[in-house]
Amino acid sequence: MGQIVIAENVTKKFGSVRAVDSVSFTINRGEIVGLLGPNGAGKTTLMRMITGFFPPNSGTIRVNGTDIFENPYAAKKNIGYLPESLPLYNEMSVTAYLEFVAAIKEIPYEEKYERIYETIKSTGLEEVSRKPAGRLSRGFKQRVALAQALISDPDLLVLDEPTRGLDPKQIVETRELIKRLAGERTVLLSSHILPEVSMICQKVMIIDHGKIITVDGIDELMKKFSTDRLEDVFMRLTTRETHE
Amino acid sequence: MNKILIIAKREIASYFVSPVAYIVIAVFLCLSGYFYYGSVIFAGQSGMEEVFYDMSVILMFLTPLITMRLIAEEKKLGTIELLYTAPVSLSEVILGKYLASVFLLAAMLVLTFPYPLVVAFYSQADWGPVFLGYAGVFLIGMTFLSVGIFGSSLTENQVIAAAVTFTGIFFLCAVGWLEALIGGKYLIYLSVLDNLEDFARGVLDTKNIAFYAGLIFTFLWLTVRRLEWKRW
Repeated sequence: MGQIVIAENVTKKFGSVRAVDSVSFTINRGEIVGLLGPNGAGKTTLMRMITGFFPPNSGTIRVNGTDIFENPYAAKKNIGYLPESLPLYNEMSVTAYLEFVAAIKEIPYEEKYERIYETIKSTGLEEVSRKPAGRLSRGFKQRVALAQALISDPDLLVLDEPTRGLDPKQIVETRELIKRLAGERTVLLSSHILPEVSMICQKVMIIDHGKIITVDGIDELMKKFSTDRLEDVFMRLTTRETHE
Repeated sequence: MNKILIIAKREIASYFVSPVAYIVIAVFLCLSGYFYYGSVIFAGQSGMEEVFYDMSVILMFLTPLITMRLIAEEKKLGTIELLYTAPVSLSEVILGKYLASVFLLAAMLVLTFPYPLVVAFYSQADWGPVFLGYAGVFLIGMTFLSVGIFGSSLTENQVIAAAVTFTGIFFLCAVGWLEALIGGKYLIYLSVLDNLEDFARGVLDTKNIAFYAGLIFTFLWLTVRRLEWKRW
């Protein structure tokens, strides 16, 4: 067990704006953590630093005990990342795309095709596996991007708005999928849909103006604010800041 | 498999899935064939000097079309996020993409091999200059491509990438003209097209090779720096 993500005093500036402002937190192995916050609060920026997309201006992030910027090769192999805009090459077939991702994530040749087959099965992509990604519907594209994150069987999954742009049926399916996939894995997901977070996650991290306002279990938070809706907690914690 | 080759393989596949590669190759063959016919067959010459010179001029115009999508498209589509967060270094990404464009260039040149073969069939071919001519065009093409990949890294708009690349290449080729304006006899050594005349005549100077290798390295290095410096 123990902690899979350890962030210490992480700050990211864009010009003079502090998108993430000296944030420290830890994520325990096996947890499903929801990252909440208003638009522009710094959720994507934080996720991009955890996944090694760009380095923080100051502070350190360790994933699985390795500093993601000092030793990116080792750390990145163990992270699956679903970015907000889906990183699909339109002309590539789903299988070819997954083969490419498997190759750059250094999955050994003997395991490669089994991993691809399993991932396609678990994300429900069998019927479209030979089609080019650009021709798929939004729901399938989302699943291909999710399959890409899962291909290396990572310990840590970072999902930036995994149900965005899906229809209600697909949303339910994706939620089930994430819950099923979680198992031994650690999942950090961001979402605007609060009921979704309370359904999937055990813990939430609320971020606003680049600062983490609270990290707590969902049940604990609701007890603290004596409510049964996560919305109330969210509104009370974030509006205070936005109206200042 | 080596990461550079994985990236290159994907890039080559994407060239040949889209019409880009076929159109670029077709245009190159049409134009170079036209010049070949004019300066060799019609003029009844057996030397290919002019054809090699013309090929490089055609490459000036085609290179921006080959390289403009390499990085700009990844930025636009957001696929670059996948590469940044994968266990692969930026140098590997850039070298892989560069290699893919060099592969396309090599394919274009290989397809023109019938030109000297026809000459050899009808007359005594002088293979030395032909070999040097091809080496020269290849080297110059590689230099243009390195300018192009740098141009593509500057923006997420492919048209801007192509325009910047063309300007850069044109300047490299025309820097010799400045000589008339500011004097000095060194600029001519830098001018790509002036060098090519030497190549075509069968003079391959190690100084020239070093010069082009230096240019290629510089532009690839600048591309990596540029992407490290600004990630979006």
